Amino acid sequence: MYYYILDAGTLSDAEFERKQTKLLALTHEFNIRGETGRVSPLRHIKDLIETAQRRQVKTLVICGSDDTFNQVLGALAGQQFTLAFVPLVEKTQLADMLGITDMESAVRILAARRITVLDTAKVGNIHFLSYMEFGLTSDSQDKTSLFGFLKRSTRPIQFKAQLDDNFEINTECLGGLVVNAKGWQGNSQIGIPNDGRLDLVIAPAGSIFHSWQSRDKVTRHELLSIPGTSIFPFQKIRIIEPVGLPLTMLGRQILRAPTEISIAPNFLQIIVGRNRTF
Amino acid sequence: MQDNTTFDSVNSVPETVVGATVKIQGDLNSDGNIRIDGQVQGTVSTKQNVQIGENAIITADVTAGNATIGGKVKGNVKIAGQLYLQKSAHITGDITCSSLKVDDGAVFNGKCSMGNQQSSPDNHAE
Repeated sequence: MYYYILDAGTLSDAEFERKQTKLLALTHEFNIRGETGRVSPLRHIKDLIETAQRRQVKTLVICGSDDTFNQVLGALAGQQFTLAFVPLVEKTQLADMLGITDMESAVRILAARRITVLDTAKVGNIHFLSYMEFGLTSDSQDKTSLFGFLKRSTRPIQFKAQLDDNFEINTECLGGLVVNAKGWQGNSQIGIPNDGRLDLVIAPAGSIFHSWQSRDKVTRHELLSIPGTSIFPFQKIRIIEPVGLPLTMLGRQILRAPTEISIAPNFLQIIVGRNRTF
Repeated sequence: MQDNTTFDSVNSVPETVVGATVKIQGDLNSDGNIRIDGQVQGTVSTKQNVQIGENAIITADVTAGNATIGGKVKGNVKIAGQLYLQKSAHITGDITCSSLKVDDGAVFNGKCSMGNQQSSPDNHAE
């Protein structure tokens, strides 16, 4: 049985109604109808998950944005569901990751029920599927503007972290990523969310000219094509310095250093498309 | 049994990359290929391949399946398969390997032990 969690997010009421109608038509067409619950100020995601639990639902279909999915993941608290995702907004990281192009393809993928078990990254009790960013890579406002970029590239980060309790790294960098699953194509050796490990990718600090040349690659997370980029697979990282370094997800600050991120192997059952990035 | 791999096989895609600006202290252990262009103090260990770039500075024992060394290594180097010392290599420590290739200009101060000598007629220092 399917339970659809619908989150309007930033959509207008009219736009949400239009998307909901289309979704219902598609689920009818593919014969995957189920109960729906809409997120509202009075019904939080946690309440909807509890309802699904009481109904003994097997599959939670999260309809909304990346943010909706992350909130559901954070609220699951160890409850075992198979998850699926239907984007209600144009561009989502998760849709790219799962091989979803639009609502119709999402429903088609849901109906096909290709289920895979994935690792998640864990910070305390909060789990995430994709990646966190720090430094230049996390700056959604300034990373393409000349002045914003120059301001940051002339102030590189003195990054210090301990990996797997085995070794400590020190480096001067522009920024980096802690990746469980990548939301972009390419760089196939990193961001594989069923390999039992996370990846730390660090873009090196260099000359301002080098940084300016690299800005598009940073924006597209193509850090591996920047000369001098470092990669470390790991299971647990403790980011030590700089103290107060913000770590962001989808432009929103989630954590500040010092902090610890670890792998939760085989934590999540999720329905994926053929064109997924992993 | 004859080992059919070549020295080129050492140049495979690295799983762990230590960039030139990175300094590591501790035990760098990996299941995959490692490329080091920065500095490492401690130990370096993998069953796969290690590539040490010409600007790398390693103060560590290195254990690997195969290795190409172009930088400075102060420590013992224990390689199960092939070891290639490039012209920029500077090694202070003992070497153990199955086969060894040394470019003109490489510096090596230490003892060298080569096992598995019957495996291939090419298994000798050049």
